[in-house]
Amino acid sequence: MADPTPESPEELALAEALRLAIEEDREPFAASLRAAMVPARLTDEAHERLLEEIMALGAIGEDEVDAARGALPHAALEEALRAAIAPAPLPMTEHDAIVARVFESAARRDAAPRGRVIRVAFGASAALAVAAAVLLWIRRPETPEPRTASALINVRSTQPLFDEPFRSGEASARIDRIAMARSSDLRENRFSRWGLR
Amino acid sequence: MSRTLGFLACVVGLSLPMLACNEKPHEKGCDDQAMVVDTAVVAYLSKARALHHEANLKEDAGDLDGAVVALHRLTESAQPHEGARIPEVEEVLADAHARIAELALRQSHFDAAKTEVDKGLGHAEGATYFRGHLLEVGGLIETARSKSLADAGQTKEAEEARQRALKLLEEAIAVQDRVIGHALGDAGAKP
Repeated sequence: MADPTPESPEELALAEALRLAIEEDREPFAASLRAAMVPARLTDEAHERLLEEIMALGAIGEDEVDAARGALPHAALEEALRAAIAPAPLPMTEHDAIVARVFESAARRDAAPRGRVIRVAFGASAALAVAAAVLLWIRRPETPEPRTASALINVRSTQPLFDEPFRSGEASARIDRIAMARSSDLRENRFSRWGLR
Repeated sequence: MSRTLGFLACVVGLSLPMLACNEKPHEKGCDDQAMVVDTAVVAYLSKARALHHEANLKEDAGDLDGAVVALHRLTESAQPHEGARIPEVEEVLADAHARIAELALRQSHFDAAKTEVDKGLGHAEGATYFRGHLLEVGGLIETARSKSLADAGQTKEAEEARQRALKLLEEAIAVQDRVIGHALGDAGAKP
């Protein structure tokens, strides 16, 4: 959604001045960002000079580290990042207090009448779920195809295929009719199993 | 512990009836798991069709024994879903026994023909054209037997066979009447 307030001439002037400062390396913050994102190649002379300067400083004490940390403009952010990446161990006292609160809350829920109903419902549901799992586990190798029993054509008498009493000498004509009819049923069942009906 | 045992009993109790229906969907109490037309059933019907046509070829060539052998291959072959009574399979077997009986009758093998009719009736217990046809063939067998016995001068045996023939033919008529009545009733019920 577009900002309905147009920029004032002063804002536009400040933005242009900032853009120029970044472009001409006159903005220290922008220079630090660029150095971090796309560092320039360190020459051998500069590298040697840095090493000499660091060696000349000598060992740094804890007090000096803490002072330097405190001087950072985003110390709180640094602390949050450190906690996220390498969290400190949870003190035992704090751990015990959390566990106690959890147990206390669970005990209150169990004491309520609603809790008993949920347990019973869960027990019945679990029994049904396990029973279904047992059936699926037992039946799975024999019924790999998806199946909707109600959509499939069942075996049944072939009587409806014939509309008059049988005559002698027509037995093969009868089996022709039966075999063709049930072949058609089998084809329909296959389509159903494949989800095409 | 007792709670765990109760839970397990519940799981087993819920699983076993459903599992039993999966294994034997044709049995009582498993109607919602009826057996579907599958590859095994159609393969059996295809085999039956091929054997009937093989019997046709033998019969056309005058080889009635060959035709009977082909049909016996059908009646003695393994059936799909052993232990299940699949209507199509039962009816095909009933009709195959009827055809063998007719072939035996043409050869005047009356006892063999009657045996086939009896076997066929075991596969056609309800009122269907299949059962009616078997009873009719049974009546024709006893009619032919009666004539044969009369020709041989065995009057009493011939009369007994004639009475059996009449009884079987009346049964056949009754079954066919029930089938036709059923069909007309169903047709009348349709809009």
